[in-house]
Amino acid sequence: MVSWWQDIVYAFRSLWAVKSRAVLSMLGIIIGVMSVLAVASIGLSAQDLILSQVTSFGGDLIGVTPGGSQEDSPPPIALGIVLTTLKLGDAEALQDVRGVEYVVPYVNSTETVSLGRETAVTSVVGVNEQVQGLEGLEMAEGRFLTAEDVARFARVAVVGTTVAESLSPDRSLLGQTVSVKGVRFTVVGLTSEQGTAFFQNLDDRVLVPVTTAQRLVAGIDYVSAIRMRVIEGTNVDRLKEDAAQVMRRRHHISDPSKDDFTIGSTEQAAEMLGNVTGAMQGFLLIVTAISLLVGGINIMNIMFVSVRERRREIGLRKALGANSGRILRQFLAESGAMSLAGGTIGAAVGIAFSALVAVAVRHYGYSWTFFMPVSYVVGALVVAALIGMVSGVSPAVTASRLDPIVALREE
Amino acid sequence: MTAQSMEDLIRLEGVTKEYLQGDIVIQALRGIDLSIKKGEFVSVMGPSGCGKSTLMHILGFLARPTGGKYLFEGRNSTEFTDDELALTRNQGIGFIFQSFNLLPRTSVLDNVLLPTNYSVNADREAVRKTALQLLETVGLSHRLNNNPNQLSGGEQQRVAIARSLINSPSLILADEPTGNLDSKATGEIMDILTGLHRQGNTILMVTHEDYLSEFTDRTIRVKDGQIVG
Repeated sequence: MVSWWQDIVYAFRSLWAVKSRAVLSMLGIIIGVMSVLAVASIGLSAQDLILSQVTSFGGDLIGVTPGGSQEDSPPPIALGIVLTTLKLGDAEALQDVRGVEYVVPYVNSTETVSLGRETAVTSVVGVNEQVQGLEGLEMAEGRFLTAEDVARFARVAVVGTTVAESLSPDRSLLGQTVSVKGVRFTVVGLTSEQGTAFFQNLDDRVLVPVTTAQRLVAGIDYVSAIRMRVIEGTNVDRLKEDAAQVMRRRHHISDPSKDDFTIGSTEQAAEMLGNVTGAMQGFLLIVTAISLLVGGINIMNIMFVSVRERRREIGLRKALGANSGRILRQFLAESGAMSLAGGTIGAAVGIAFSALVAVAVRHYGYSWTFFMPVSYVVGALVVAALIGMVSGVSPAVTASRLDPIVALREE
Repeated sequence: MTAQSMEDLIRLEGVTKEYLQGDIVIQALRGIDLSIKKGEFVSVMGPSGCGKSTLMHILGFLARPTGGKYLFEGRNSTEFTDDELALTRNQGIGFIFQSFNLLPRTSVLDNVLLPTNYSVNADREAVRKTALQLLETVGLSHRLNNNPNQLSGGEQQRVAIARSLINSPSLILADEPTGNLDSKATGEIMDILTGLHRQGNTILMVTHEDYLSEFTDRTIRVKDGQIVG
């Protein structure tokens, strides 16, 4: 035990003597450990972010989107095709499915909203009054949209904090009139700060009655999507099947494989996203692990050079009583120490980098949690030291087999 | 065994050494008979290529003889394993080289302690004390924490002598210990070696200089792999 310690101390000392070369030879391990930790940490945070976004409305949500789920071709939206099959009437009909608490049709468009000379580009979202319950929106001022607003095509709007602040920073927007595409809306309510959900900033939008949005803003007769909230304790799979039956009846479809709509739940989405990000992370980890391997080869290379340069020292140590095992150990300790040192530097840089990413992402308003499990750091360091020792085996064996007479004769 | 041979520290009986140089077999030693008693100071002389280096390597357990017998402290070393050879080098032999062979970037004290790294169960405190004493003997107490490159050649060789003594070896092998030194430093080193001899140490010194062999009890002359007198 004591002599191992001596070997390690001597190893660090001889590394220190050739600092710049040691750092260069450690570079591979430094970069390898850094990227492994950064990828692992950022991956965990991203997964956490995605899950929290998808589940941020709480409970089970069911989404109905236009177009069937074709697994062998890209979704129509990717080809620039807008599907118009989802209608307002579908949302109304889904209201009657058992176990449904809220049903909200969505009509999305990005518009310029103006108040006098102030303008803001934001998303104008047509919804019904049930969105307050579905999204759990809280009011800061005024009232929310009502069923009557929807029925009457009312020109009223509920505005998010970001939009309100950019349009009227000094005084409350409540009661003022904003215009969208020349249509004037009275602001009847302001939501309080909501944050992001489903990667949409809930504060950077204007909510208007879906009917008004269809006719006066977007000029369309369909809806972009329908969301439903399920009463707690309902069998979600049954409900999805019931909802599909309603949709098929309305769209006159008898063959389920010809569905022109897709019904999915947040649970499904979360699982799918989890799989996708997990696979991505695994792939990235493999790529970064290869860089660790290259780092190991780098160390092997430099150890061969080191053994070559220090033949006299090896010969001397043998003459003074070191057996082959001790020489082997000395060089293993040296390559292990080198990559452990490299690993430590890499871990520090990797942790710092991941923390920096966390700060940057939070700056953009996402609730990004910084993850750096101790087990990952310890694991990366152990792997780095192991790689160093394994890379050192061949050079160390070469060193231990040197004939002391030949080695001592070298000048 | 006679009383005479009991006192022999070293006994070589018909030792030969052959090695290959390319396809040619070189006979470096052709049957060496030699005994050295405890406490002797012996010099080995001969022209270069005569085999005296090979003899030194065999005596110092750095090489095995091809034939013959090598008794060290009464034990037949030809049967030693590699690890036993290493242990014997560590415990039984003190090497002094022509080119000092100190570890660079390592303090004088740690250089002296180097052989104890390879000793089994070395008492760190005790060997440290011994090292300090030895450095005092060779007059380098004030240089403990210097690195070898800060020392003169003579000083470096004195460190090497202290290192050779750290494990109280039975035999000190000095391979042209003054070959790289000026006459003043040579005088200092020879003073130290004769001092060690007077304290009862057994020393075998290879040299080219006749006047240095006069410091020793007897001189062995080697020529063409054989002892000629």
